[in-house]
Amino acid sequence: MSNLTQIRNRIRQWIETNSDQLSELRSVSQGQLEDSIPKGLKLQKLLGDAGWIRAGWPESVGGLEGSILNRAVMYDELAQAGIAIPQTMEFVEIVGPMLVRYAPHIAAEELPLVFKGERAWCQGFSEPGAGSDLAQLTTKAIPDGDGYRITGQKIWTTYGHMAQRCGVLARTGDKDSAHRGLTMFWVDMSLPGITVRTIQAANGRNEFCEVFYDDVYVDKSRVIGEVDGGWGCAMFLLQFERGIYAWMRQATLHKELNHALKLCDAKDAKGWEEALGSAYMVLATLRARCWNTVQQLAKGIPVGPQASIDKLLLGASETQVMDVISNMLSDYFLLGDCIEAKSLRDGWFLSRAATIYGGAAEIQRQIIADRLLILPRGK
Amino acid sequence: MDPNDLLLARNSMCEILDKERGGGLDALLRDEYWLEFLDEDEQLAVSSLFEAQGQKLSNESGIDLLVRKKLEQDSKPVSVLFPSTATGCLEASGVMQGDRVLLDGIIFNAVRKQIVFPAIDGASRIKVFQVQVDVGGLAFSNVGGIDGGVEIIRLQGEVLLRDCLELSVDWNFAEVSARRAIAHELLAMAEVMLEKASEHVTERKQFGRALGAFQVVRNSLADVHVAIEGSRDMLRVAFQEQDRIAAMVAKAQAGRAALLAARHCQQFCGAMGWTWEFGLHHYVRRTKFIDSVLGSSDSLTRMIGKELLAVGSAPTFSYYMKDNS
Repeated sequence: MSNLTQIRNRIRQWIETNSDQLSELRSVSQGQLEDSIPKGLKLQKLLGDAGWIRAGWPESVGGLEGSILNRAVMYDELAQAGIAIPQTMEFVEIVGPMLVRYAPHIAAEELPLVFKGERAWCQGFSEPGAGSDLAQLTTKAIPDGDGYRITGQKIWTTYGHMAQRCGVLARTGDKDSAHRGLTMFWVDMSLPGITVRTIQAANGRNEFCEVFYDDVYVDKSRVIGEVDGGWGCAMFLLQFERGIYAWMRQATLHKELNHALKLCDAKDAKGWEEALGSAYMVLATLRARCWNTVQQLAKGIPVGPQASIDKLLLGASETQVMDVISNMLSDYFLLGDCIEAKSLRDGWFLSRAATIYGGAAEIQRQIIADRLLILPRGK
Repeated sequence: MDPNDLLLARNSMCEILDKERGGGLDALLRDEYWLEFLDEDEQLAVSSLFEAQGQKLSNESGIDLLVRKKLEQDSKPVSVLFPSTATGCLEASGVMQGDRVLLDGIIFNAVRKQIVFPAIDGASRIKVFQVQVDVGGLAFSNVGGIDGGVEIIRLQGEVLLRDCLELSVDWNFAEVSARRAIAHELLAMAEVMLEKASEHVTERKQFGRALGAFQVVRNSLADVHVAIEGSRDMLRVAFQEQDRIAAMVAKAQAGRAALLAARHCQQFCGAMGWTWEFGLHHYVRRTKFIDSVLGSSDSLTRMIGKELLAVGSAPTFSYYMKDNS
């Protein structure tokens, strides 16, 4: 029996043994974020105490060593048991590896708190003037004594109002330095000079925030990696967004599809066989692809421009799966007012953003055209 | 499966396919120990042969030998009767009706002494039968059709059930292998078409720049690349899982990738691409035809949807439980 099979069996056993506790925490991502994030942290603590989310992290940060693949198995099993993955775990998976690699001293402080469900993270990258063209960002970090003063504005900071720490990309180079003059900072969101304003998303939830940094002092020990090496940290982080985050999403999409298939009857589903088949096909393809990428991450092999393929498959899966579910359950989706109907609508709207966040689909296509197909560039 | 291994094996297969074949492809593949290769490493043997076939637009196909091997009929003088969406039933090439079986299907390469065919009964079960070609009531016609380059024979007719010998073999097992093989052939053609399109849009200039510099062209060709690469990943799973749905998904995805490649390649190669001489149409013809064998991508997509509804769940493939390769 393979190691991963053993892990799978153990997780299933644990889920069954703890089914009472888990049933209260089953639908943590439903409703307003102000409710769902704290609930999710409770589940995160449960998973941390049991050791499942500590697998694959070094001992120096409170981890149990081993492989990221162990956590991948965990996400699959939680989803298959119908248990929602805590939203805060998304950022643990995306940002955590960057901390371990580029700022192990920060990782050693942060991850133990994460495993206890006492820490939530967010990312400060995009700005009003720098979305897809991130390298043009203007939030600056000016050296001041033993640290830096950060001034600027970030936008679309997901879960910003519920997070205690933020990975902020700021300019330490001159105004023409583009991606070469950026530094990644680990910022305490309770520092003086930081103002967080929630932004209501199309689904009615405060999915993200604008964050204003007004002369915020951060100690130089909060620099992640090298000064002016921030772009490299961001690129390193993005591999995990493409890999393990996509894997978490495919697990959740399978869960959503399964749930919908159980709820809908033959009458509801009539006429949707093709859309269902199509959505399932791209989701199964995504799963196949992601697993390959996560294995690469597990072996420490850099994931290059090929990751854009994963990202596009993820966007397509999100849109197609949520579309077919909304159509098969249209009565509920369009006219329902219970928490489950609202949650389905929240998820459908969120799937509209899947081709926008983390690197828009157009940018992914551009990367493929430039670096994989080597097509001619414009003027 | 190492991509380098595939490349080497594929080149090797291309050389083999270029050889003289007095006795047809069947004899050639046997002489070149392809059946042994199949036993040793099915994924490599199938992918390399069928991608070479697709690349070279081979006039004969290894699909007959592959299915016969899977049905344990490879040493007998039989030809397989393949179902095609073109002939109406994608699950079987025979329909059982009372004391007779109605046949309509495609034979590849040559007609041998007996025909082996899957037949569907009133309860939608598939059984495999063998019948003599000279039993009477069978009409064989050499097909030109959309793809004049492939050697196929259509068989239509009616036989008595009592003239057929039921074989205790697993059609599903053979069908899974065959679908994966066709998927590889489709992917190879998709890659050729993408390559043709990329070359054309790199050279052709209008409005002061190469066509490939325009975003709509770049985005569309990037989508083709995603479809091809995603299909490759799904095919890997289909080989590891030996699962009916995995093979259906893999074949349907590969068919979609090839049809998408055909569409975008045609569009961006413009009027030039629409000429006989340009040669794109050969790949388009082969794609349309081979996609239909054992279920077109459209019909497989619908079938997958129906199965998910019937089962009430969406299966997750657990290939990661096996050894990583």
